[in-house]
Amino acid sequence: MLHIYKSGAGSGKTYTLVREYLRLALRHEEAFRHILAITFTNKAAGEMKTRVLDALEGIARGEPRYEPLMRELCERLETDVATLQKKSESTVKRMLHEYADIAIGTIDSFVHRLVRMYAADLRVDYSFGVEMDKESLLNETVDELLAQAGDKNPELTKALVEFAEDRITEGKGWRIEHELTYLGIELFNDEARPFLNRLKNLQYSDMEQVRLMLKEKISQFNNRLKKYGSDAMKYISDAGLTAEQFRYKSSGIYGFFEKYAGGYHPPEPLGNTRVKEAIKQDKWGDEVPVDLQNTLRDIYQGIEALWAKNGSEYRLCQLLYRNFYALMLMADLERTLERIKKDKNILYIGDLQHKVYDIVRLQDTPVIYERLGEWYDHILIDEFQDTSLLQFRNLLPLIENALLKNKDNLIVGDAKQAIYRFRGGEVAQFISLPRIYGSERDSQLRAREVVIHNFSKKPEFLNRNFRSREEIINFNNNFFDAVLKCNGEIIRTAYANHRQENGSGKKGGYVNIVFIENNERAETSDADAGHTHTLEAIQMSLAKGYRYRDVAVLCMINEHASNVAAYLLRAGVPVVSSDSLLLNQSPQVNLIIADIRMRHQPGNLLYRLEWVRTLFNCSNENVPFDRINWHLAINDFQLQVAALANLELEVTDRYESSIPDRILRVARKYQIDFSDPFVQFFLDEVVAANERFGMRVEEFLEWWDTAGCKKSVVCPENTDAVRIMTVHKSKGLQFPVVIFADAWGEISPRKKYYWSEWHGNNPIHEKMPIVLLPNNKTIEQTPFADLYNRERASAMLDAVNLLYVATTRAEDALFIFTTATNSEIKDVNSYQALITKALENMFGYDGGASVSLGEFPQANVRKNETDVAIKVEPYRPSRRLLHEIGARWRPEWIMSRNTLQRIEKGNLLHEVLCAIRYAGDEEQVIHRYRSFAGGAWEAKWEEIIKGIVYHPELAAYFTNQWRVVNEHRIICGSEVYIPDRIVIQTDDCVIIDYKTGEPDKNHETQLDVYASVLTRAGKNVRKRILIYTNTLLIKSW
Amino acid sequence: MVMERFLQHVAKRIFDMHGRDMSDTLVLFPNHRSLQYFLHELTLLKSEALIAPHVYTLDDFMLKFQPYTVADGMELLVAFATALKKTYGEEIMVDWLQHAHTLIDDFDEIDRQVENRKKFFNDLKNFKSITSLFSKDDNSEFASQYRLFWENIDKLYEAYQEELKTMGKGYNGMLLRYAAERADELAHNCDYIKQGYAVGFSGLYRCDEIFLNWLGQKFPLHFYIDADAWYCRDAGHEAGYFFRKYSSLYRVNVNELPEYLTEGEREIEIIGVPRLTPQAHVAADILCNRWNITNEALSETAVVVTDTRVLHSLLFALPENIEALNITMGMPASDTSAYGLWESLRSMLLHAYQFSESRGLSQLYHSDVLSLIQNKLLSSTFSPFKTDKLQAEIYKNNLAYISVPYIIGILGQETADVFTLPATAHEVPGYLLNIFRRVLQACLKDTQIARVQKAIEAEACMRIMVILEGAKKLTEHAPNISPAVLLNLLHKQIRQIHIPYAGEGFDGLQLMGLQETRALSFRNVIILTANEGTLPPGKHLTTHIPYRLRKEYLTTYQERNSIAAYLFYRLLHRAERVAILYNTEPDELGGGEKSRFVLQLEKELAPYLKKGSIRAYIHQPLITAAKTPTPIVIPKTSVALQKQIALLTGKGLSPSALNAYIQCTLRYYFRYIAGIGEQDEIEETPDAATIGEAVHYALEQIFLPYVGRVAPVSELHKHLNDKKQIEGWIYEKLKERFDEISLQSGKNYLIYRSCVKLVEEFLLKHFEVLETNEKSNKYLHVEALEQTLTAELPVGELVVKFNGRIDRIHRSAGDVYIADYKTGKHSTLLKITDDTFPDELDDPKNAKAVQLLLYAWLYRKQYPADNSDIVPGIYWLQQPDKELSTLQTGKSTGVVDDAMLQIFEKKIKQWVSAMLNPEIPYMQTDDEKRCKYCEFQQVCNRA
Repeated sequence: MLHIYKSGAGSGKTYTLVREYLRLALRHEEAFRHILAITFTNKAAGEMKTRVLDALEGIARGEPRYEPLMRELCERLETDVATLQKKSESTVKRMLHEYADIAIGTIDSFVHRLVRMYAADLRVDYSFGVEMDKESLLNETVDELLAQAGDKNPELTKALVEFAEDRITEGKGWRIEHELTYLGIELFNDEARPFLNRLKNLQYSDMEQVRLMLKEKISQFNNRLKKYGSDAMKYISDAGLTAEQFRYKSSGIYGFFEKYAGGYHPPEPLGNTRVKEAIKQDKWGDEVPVDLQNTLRDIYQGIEALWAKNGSEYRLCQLLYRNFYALMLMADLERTLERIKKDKNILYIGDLQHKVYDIVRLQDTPVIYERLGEWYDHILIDEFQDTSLLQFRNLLPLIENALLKNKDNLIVGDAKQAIYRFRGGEVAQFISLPRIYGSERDSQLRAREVVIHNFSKKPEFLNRNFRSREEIINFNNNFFDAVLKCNGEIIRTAYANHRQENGSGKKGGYVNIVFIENNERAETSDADAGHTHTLEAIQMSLAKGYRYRDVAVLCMINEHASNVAAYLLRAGVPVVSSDSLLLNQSPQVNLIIADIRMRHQPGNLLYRLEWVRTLFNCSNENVPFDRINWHLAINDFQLQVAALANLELEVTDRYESSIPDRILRVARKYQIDFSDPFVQFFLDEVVAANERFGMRVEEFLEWWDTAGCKKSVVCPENTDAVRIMTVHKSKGLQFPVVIFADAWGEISPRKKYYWSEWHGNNPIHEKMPIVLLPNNKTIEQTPFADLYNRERASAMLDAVNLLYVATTRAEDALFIFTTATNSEIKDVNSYQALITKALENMFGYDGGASVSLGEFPQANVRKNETDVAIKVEPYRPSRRLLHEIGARWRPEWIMSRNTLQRIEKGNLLHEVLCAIRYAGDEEQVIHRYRSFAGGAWEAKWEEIIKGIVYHPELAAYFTNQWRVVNEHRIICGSEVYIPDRIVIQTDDCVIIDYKTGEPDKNHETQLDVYASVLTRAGKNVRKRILIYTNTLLIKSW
Repeated sequence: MVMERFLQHVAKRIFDMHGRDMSDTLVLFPNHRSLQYFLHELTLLKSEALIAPHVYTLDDFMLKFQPYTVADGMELLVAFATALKKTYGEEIMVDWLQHAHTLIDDFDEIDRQVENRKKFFNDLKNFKSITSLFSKDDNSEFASQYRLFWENIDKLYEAYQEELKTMGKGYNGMLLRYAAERADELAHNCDYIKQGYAVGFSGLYRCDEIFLNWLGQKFPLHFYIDADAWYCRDAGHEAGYFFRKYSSLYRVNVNELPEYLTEGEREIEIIGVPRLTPQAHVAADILCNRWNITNEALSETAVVVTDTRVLHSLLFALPENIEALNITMGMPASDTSAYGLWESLRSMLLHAYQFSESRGLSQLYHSDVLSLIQNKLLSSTFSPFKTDKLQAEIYKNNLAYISVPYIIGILGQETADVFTLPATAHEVPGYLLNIFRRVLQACLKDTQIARVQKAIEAEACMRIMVILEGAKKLTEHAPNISPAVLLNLLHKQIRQIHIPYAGEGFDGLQLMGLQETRALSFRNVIILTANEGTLPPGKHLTTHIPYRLRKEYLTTYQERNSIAAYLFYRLLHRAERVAILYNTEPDELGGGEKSRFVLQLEKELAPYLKKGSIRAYIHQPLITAAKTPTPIVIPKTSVALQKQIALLTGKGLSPSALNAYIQCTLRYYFRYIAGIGEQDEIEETPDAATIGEAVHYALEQIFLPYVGRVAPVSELHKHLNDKKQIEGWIYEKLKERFDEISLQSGKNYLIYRSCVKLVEEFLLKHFEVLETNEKSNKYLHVEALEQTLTAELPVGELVVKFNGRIDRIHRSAGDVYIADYKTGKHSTLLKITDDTFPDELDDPKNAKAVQLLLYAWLYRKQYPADNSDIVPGIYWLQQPDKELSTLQTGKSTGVVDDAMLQIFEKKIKQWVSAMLNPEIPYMQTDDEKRCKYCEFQQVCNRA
């Protein structure tokens, strides 16, 4: 069966999911392998794993806090506690050891594994990398596309030039990279994918016809308007009148016609109220004769009729024309992007879903499982409201397969918390369940829908809130009721049944809404009144016994989060935030960057200046600017500045090595403290990104400017510090005190472009397969108005949901800071308007500076959490670099390899001899070495070898009378000796050594040493033999 | 009490059994490192003297007596390419050649593990997820190639082996299987052995197992294993998997195994640390501060690194008092200049081939060229003077693409072989070899480089050359290979190069990978990056064989994880102090989960500990607020003031200098006093200033013939009809700054076209206006173009100079028009009213008004006799429908009268006095909005 839970915030979604997981996992030991639990983020996956394992462990040990869960499970599994505990114990054990088989993860990581498994089949190289950063991919794509302009690509060049020229005519400047990048974002948009695929067949020649057609239509329309205008002007001047005689002169009806006559449109195509006064109320001006009025009114009506009849098409043509080259270039961008990905052997993270879609389309689910090595009977999906169309489409076959086997599946979600539309999340999928959204357009989906529908239980609502105190629950219930009153259909559907009961029974609670005056909210960060309110709220919490870690500051915008963090840190409040402790705030990090930048372009004085500034920043001293000569040679320049700063600097350039190595080198140069978290995290980011830039300083600096500088220090969760995060990141979390610090801003359509099929027939249609419109209010005046209106409604739902997520995070106290709306609210198109309006609806809020409900409760002191703060004692790092450890210095090896001959000749013969143990071995050994040595083999060696093996004096030692040990270690204390050959008979032995050179006294000494060592090892050395291989001279004693 | 090390124990026992002559004894090890440590233990026995036993790694022993030798990576590829060609023909070869590495690995394991290969390949060919990937009637090229490939996979396997055999070579698996299957033929090679020992083994391949069994029949073979009862007894514990599996071979009785883990007195710390690099720091802190490792204890201390990315920072962070150090992992090639050279060359080639159709091979991307000439190894073979020159030229001229002749022209003919790219894949290896040979010779001769560095670079060069030499053969056997595929294959090989470190052997701190810890024992152990996916490696396996078949015939992730588990727990056996560090931060595709081993320790081992302790916590970095940088204040010292005066009385003030001063005195200082201009960064396209220059030039040329006379529209119009002329002017101007080739394609070409368009659009509208004016008898009389007006103004004791270059001065209907062309965005000009004039000029948003007023003032000063009305204004080139934009002066035409100019002159004096006032320092503006487009925002922390 498919169980669908629709729930509100704090209603125990994850608890439900964990309980269901446990119920399924506890049926038998292997069961957990067949449960696929999908969470939205990796972090959530990690938490769910921990919760599952902890619960199992807790149940096994019979911990009291798991009692309710135990009862529920016993009931559902129809078993007794003792059995449950035993089962839990064996299950947790299995899970701990077959950990990789626990399938709790994100859809992306699941899909990633699937793609790797099918890599070759999808024509992807196995070692493909996954690129997360679409910005850098896009920049590269645009650069490459532009680089293709030129005589060899006339059509592309024409499109680009026209595109650039259009921008210039429109006054947008010549920086078309920016425009193209903007365009390129669509390449990563799932929704655009089917349309993009159809663009691939676009012909430049067809498109040129379309363009002319559009142009023609636009100018036809304009000419007709112009004709009306000049007709009117002609009548007026024939009547001997000028602007002077008309009411409002040039800004009234006269100006209206004058504009059209001049080929322009008045700002309102049918005239403003002044124009309408003339037409509707006959207020033309006293000196305008009535018959002229009538003539002009006729003309006006002609204009009106023209707009009514063709206006919408005209607007459409305008928009299409404006976007014309964009559409053409989109196809080129797509091609370029694909090539880049292929060349670099990477996939964009979003591609994974598309790749898997190819797999699930081609193969049956059981076959996929077979390849993968696992199968899933139960699919449990959390946060379903943020699932994208494609993600769901990829999961559907798995769910269908499980349902057909009559297994339990589970989907949990909350349409009110759908806030990831910008990443492709489609909330309608959740709202439609158990119907499948979009099935009306897809027969395969319809077939799946039948299965899903037949196996679905009626959606259940989880309506008890266990998280917040009463006052907060009540506030949210009433607040969103009030919000509903000012909004449309889609929001009402999502918010049906939104009211919650108090599940925990916790009473009290505090809500405080502050309306900040706009002028108070100055733009410079420190003077920002919002910040002081935040600080006050934190101090208030502390006063009530809360700790820093109990407080979360939520922001809508990263930048604001960053400002708040900086402000609070300066005010002495400890802060944890992934968006705010930016690496580029660190003077040390900046000094490293400045050094590398300056050395990279020594002639650039600006870089010198930046370096000087960061250098002095680190020591917090003023720069003696007037004493610096900026124009010296770079080394002298550095020495000069170093002297002014009382530093000793090594200024010569060292051997180039990898970027991380170079950075460490620079860090050493300035004695930078490596224990500084900023420096550590900086290096960490560099190491992680190093693959991308390899050795290239330029790319490194570019990476830093675009991506690196936005990275921040990461703090672990349990630090006692105020958490600052975006509302998006707060989803799924809860805090005793929540401060929503910037509940203000526009609510407007977010899409950049609108893609659509054509409706109805249109001559353009045949040549131009699809419609691409830029985000612009005038879409409302085209046949595609519904696209725009739908987007506007979605944007409103996004906004309301964002508010919902933010206001439902709080357990005990909730602060909302918004801005005061000074004039009367006509359109609810901003957060502040929405909040104000809702509060008016709720209890007749009338513009006060703040509203508060309930009492700020005293904190419950939690005893079982202990703070662990580990202080790192200072120590002196060695600051060794990898290079300095050094390789084994082997010049001989190098010389021999230099000619790419593996082994030196003398050594080769030596090696052959040491491979021979007994007479008779030599044939095989020679054979082996001859083929191995190739050209290095010398014919005479065979003779030499045989000469030795069968030499009358030596032959005895090559018989199996003796045990032979070649090149064998003799250990004496810590010394090791390796004679070439020893032959042993119980306690007797003979030492043999091969030499290539001339006889030498030292050789004998060497053998004597061997002999004495062997004697100490308990052997009687019967003989020592030196064999000079070149001459076959034998010396023995 | 100090526990005996495992290998110490084994060495003692063997020595005790066989005495000083162990030359009839064989001892086998799983890897080289354990073998060496064993020999080291023998030396530590301090026996007077002894003849060591025969020691081998199992692999070496099995490979030793073979007729074939092990092929290197490139040889394997060559053989594989040949086999592909023979099996499938040339068409599909290249496609699958890219998967060669994975297929070769799969074959290797098949040989080690599968006894009935015929059956295996049959199953593989019929495997459903392979056969059903494309529908039967899918006849696309890929589908049919795909089917062809899998239907003949066994033939490929055979052909590959044949190919290698004819070379006298083999890959490991193939040769190990050979040894296992034909052990009897090789038997005479070990007839001198009376007894054998196998030390420290755990997991085995099937062929190892067969071979060891065979050895056991030849002579008494005893297994020394290092295992603990805790995990061996437990049937579900992966660390004991192999001991249970091979219990009869190893003769393991789980009840007789030692209980190191539960009985040992051991402190285990489990520390969560965010990310990688901070772990290095925590590790160093533990060694130095908490454990206080002395130099004697170093050799008993191991830092186990499971993710080599942490190595750099670890080494950098290690405490100073650690003198001796041994790194077993080898330095990744990617840390050498030689590798950097390879990367640069590869990138240059790839870029070049990518665009070879549109651009040919004679134009190189600037950043490729830069990174090549900045490579120290290569540039040491060039003249430094010349490379500096080339670099400067690239930056100065904004060269995005650089032609090869141009480069060689600067660097000299002797560099031709570096920049003349090979036309085909076949020539690529030779081309590269040539460069590396040249570089290696230079490196060996170079006396400047430190010895260690020289060794590393030379070694890296050598190893790359060996691979390139192999690539030569590959291209012979794969004639269809594209340069991109070849470079990709080479890259896979070169990336894997590791250069062994010269270490302290057994004495120093041991920095090692997990695999190398096999059989070794340390009293102090730090394990880094104990995260799922790294430790153990997790589920991912690169293979062409579907899971179910792997499970049936080969190994899966379970075996890999069991090996890791065993190695992990074994490390703890004799350790007294253990710190296990893991990354707390998840990344987007998984990772960041602490290792299951850590969970097992916490949840399973902890309750059974008899002695010792396990403690887990999260490391908290200490964050301090970044200090707010001090504001920049430059006092007017006598030096500074001197420079200021020199500027005012020498070069003089221009409108832009004056405006810079009004905007921000610090910006003014940097730009005009310190002389630090706009950045000189390489621009792939001309910057705004260059565009302005080109457009101005074209407009100047158009009006040039009319200076001093009337320019009738009828004549001017011909310029519009002759597009070539405007194009020519623009091109001429842009050429001054850019390489001509770069103007013919890419961004620069687009910019060029855009400039032309800008001029044309402007003229079109401008002439319309002129035409209308002519109709009412207002003719355009051109006075001057690009003229510099100058004036002097006494301020205090100084005579301050002013100057301004004016785009166009013309006269029409008696008035003088001073026109400035602007390519930037259009904006409304200041409305001058009595109340606010001239104070509002202090607001930088009125900078254009200041400029226009200064022009008018200069004109009046320079031509005092001319008493015509002056109208200064701007032509907005991007808004060509606008007539001259003028100040809103209250006069209808935008006339600036003398009264205004007098007020303005006072204002100028005021500014200049402030400039000269020693009390007023140069400082940052308070209004941060002004910083938005300032080039010094980084310096001021206003970005």
